[in-house]
Amino acid sequence: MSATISKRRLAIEALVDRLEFITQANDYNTDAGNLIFVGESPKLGEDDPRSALAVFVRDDQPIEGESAITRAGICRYRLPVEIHGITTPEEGVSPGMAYEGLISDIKEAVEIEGREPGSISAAVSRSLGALGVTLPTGLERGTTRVQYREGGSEIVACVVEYSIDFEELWGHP
Amino acid sequence: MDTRPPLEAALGAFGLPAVVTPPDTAPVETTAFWLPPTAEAVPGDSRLQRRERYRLLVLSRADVPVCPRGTVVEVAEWETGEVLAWKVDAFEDADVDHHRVLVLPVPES
Repeated sequence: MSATISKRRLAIEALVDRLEFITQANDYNTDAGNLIFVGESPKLGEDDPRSALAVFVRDDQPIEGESAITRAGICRYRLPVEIHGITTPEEGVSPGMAYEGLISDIKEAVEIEGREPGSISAAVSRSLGALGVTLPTGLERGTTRVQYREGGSEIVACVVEYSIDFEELWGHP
Repeated sequence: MDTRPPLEAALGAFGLPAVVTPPDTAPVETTAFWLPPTAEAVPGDSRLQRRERYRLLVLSRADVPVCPRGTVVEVAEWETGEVLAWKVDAFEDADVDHHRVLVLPVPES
């Protein structure tokens, strides 16, 4: 018997796979997809890449109107996920446009699975992973926040929130 | 009574030749010195941070009466001695005899 790979893990892996698509070679604004942290809170240094992402899973919660555990032994819950991004503006790009570019990168990569370079594909995706990992429209976007550049610093940052809805059988995460 | 050491003493001990060019103004030759850079993790309240060096430069008001944001200072990098161009990005402090400014490197063209 092999170890269980939970739906949560499969969904997070699928999310990271999508974020890894964020490279300028793929016609994104940044190369943030080249450096992604999951579940750790790093302090980068001057020699690290100028753009990076970090994925943080928050406390799960019952889907509105339901308890976490239903009578039929099915657990439906919502998992909030924050995607944090930092970047430094390229020459000639204002700080505001730099974080807007990063926000756009995150949203496109997460919401359009496998976008081809140069395309304006509308193949949006409202779930993560293979069929049944999340609920069919279980991927929702939450709020977007920005961090402005401070004097003497070059860094701007943003946070894009998502929520992922799951349905699990009791004992089968 | 002002008990601070005179600025000239610091300029004499640590000063480096510098050329300061405020926007739309002729360059001024002067002496400047670096204060120890502070390393801070930014953004401060984020879980994803980069530790950046904030570079502080001291300029004499006697030579450079005004030093608005965008002023370019050509002065040697303390670590390497290489003369680089720096742009005044923010004011850290101001005193009667000097400006204390945060600078960022001007990208090489």
